[in-house]
Amino acid sequence: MWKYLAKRLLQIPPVLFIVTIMIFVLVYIAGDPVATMLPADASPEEIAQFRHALGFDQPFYVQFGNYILDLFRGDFGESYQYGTSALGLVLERLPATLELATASMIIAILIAIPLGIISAVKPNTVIDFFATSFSVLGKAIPNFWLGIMLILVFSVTLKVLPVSGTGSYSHIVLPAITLGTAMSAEITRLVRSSMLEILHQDYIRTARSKGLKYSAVVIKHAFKNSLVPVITITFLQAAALVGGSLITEMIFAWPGLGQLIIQAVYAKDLPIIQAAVFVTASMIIFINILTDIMYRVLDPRIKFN
Amino acid sequence: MTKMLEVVNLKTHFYTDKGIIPSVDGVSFTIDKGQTTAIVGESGCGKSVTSYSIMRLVDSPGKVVDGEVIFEGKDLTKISEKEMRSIRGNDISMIFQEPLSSLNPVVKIGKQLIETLILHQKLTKKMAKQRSIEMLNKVGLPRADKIYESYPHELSGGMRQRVMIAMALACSPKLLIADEPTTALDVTIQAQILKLMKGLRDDFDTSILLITHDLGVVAEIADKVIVMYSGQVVEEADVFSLFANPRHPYTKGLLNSTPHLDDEKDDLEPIKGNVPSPANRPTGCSFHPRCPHVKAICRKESPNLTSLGDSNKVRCWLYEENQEELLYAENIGR
Amino acid sequence: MELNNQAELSPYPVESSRQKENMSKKFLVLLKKLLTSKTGVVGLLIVLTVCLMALLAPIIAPYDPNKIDTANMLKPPFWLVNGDLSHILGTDNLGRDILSRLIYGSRISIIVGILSVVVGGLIGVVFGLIAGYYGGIVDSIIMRLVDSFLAIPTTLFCIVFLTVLNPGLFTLIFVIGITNWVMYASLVRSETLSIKEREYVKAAKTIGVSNFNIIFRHILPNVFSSIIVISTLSIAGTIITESSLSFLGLGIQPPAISWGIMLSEGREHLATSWWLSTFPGVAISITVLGIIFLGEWLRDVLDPRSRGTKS
Repeated sequence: MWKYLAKRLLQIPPVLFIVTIMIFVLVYIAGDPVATMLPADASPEEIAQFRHALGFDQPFYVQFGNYILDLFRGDFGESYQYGTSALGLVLERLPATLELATASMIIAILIAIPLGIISAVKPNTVIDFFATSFSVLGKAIPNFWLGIMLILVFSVTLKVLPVSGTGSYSHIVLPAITLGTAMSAEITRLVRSSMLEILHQDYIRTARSKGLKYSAVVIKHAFKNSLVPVITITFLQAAALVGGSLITEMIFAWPGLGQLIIQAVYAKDLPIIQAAVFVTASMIIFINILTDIMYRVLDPRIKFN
Repeated sequence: MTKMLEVVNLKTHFYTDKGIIPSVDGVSFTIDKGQTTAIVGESGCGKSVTSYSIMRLVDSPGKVVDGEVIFEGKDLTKISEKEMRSIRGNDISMIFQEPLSSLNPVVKIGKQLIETLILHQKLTKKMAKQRSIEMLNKVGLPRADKIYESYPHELSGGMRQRVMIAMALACSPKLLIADEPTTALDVTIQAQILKLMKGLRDDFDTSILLITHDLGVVAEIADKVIVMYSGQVVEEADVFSLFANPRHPYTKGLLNSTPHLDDEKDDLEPIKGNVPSPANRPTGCSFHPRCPHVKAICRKESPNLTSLGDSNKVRCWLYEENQEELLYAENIGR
Repeated sequence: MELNNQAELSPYPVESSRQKENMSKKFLVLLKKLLTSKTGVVGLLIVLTVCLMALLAPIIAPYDPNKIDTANMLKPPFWLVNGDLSHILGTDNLGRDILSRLIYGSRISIIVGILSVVVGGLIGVVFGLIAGYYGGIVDSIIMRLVDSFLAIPTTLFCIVFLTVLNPGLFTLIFVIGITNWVMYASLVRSETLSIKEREYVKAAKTIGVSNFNIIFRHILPNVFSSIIVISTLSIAGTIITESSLSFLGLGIQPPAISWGIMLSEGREHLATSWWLSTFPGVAISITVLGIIFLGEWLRDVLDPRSRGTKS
């Protein structure tokens, strides 16, 4: 196991390095931001001086070298908007995003697992029809529209939940549903199809031949087998959540990383964007490795090599 | 001898898109206490479905549509699911053909073993573990405590089948149904498993219903043999008369197509033709297209399962008492 | 799959005339199978309708989609009070006809959806073939590149690129396409890995067929049906990505019409005029649904391995 882990961990640096290059190239293409940072009536001398101070007059490789050196110190530069450390701003916003992601994951799992199991145990019934429709619709409906529609129904029309912002538990409900629906749809689909397959396996018949209740057979024997793919997909979906939270946070004015990124995009605040991409990528790589390990721990048939 | 289980006119049909398939079509037989009864037949003859029907484990689209399964005075086809569950794994237990796929791959052997004991014998976890390890020892597994903590994929095929047997016998069932228990195993392992089953039958005083296509296995372990063809019983006999004096042409064919070590004869005679598909059975006696003794009446009418004086029975026009009369009537008809 | 089997058995390329005959036969079989799958038919009908809408927009749209009509601002759909049949789905804050805008909006969705899949598909297939066929260090480099792209969520990737590039139709297609290539690369790579071990590829190698020819005549045709399936399904994703980006103001720029733009404009009038932000979303969802149905049906028919449970 340790050998496998070491091998997996060794794959991180090159991936992060490529991500870094991609971010840098992007910033390089963008050209220097000096023009947007100084007042419109700045003199050419002032601009040149400012460029020099920030190192934008250096050749490509020097800029890249400096960039990498800064990276090792965790320095992505200072936000153009706030004038403070970009990484600091990103890390400050991270907890809110994680809170939202956790809430939507919980909602997604609470809906998906029972729904998937029941629809597999009772195929071709009303609930099965509902589950399959849900799993297709959840994928087809864009989450930002779902968010708007939820606001329309629950905030504007019924006035039972707040439109946006934070402060109470009721604030997290709509954004969490918005973010969790697509994930839930995907998990429902997977639980259903893997359970359908598993329920026809020989060991299910064995379990039934022991005199166990069917519900016990389903939960203790069948579901345990579908846990492996379900947990894998849940973790992979968690990575997608980070992406999905961008628009959701914007719509609901949720003060997380997504909102920070969108604001930075409108303000062309590149240091924040770089730091945010780097942090997001690191998180996703970490989640992927965790998924791999979980997968191996859960299925005793897979060996670590 | 006392009856352990009596199956009367059992019919199990499968409702598929292509129509109703009568997989088991009026099967009757009895299993005596302490005896091993074997059901023999080619694949598709309905022998496995018969065993699942007894256990009420036939999956949709299959359904037991008629008949009785009498066990200790109760008709298993009529009792509630709850009552049936208290019999499964406790009074009647089952082992299957594929020991690997029949054991849950992500659950440790020990956990799969204690499950039945906790459920039926109401043992505590600790007692159940003790009993399980005893059972593993009894089925000849060395280092039982290590196997208790293993996953199925870590064991060999023979060991897995021993585990299955230990699991099935944990609650000392009155009847053990073994569905092709040795088919997936190597020949040497087969012999060991059969020997084990024989030993345990005597130790636990368990009756066995053995489902197999292998006459070698039958000769080894069975007391009584039921030959099935196309969803019906075609011959029922004690093991000695079956091998010495097979009655039904199909039984004869099966014996002739089985290799014997001590036989001088080199060439086997396979039965010509194929097993008819259950959806599309021939009229009359369903064996008639392959039968070397086929007569006109065989094509028209199905013969009855006729007793031959002793406990042996056969379903064939060759043995009908009033055969002559029928033949005569047939000739007149022509 | 008759065609594939034949190609597998023979060490030589299948004769083209026979291939053609088989193709038309196969097409008929496909069509027959399509008609037996309800969701497949529904999917096909939806996709055809949307394509026709996009194609015939100037003919079928009742109004000029950008015509501002201050006399008829925020008019509700016909079944509500104050609504009438002159504007079936109502008008927006500038009095523009929503139905006409929806019809024109389908053009962007279809164009961006298809072209970005083509861009991503081309890049991904080429990289996947190279990685799978040559293996070794090339494979490792490409796979690390794939990992890096997977580490950045699609929306984030697009947003970041669109911040520094000039927004517009082609930038959008290019950027969405780029995020897509990873999927094709990993699929084609894994299939190439297994196909290159088959007898007929080995046979071709021993008789001196060039690598280029092996890749394009033996491997590519065998991966083709999987590519078709994945492309169809991923159009659904690209349409959603396009509408999200346009919704954020980073994609298509007005006065061009996109369902995403309509949604973001309508959002400001959510409290008073729900129809502004409802109909574009319905249009996106139905289109995506149709594509998913069609794609899943194609997968069931073309790819016997992944024949999942029928829904």
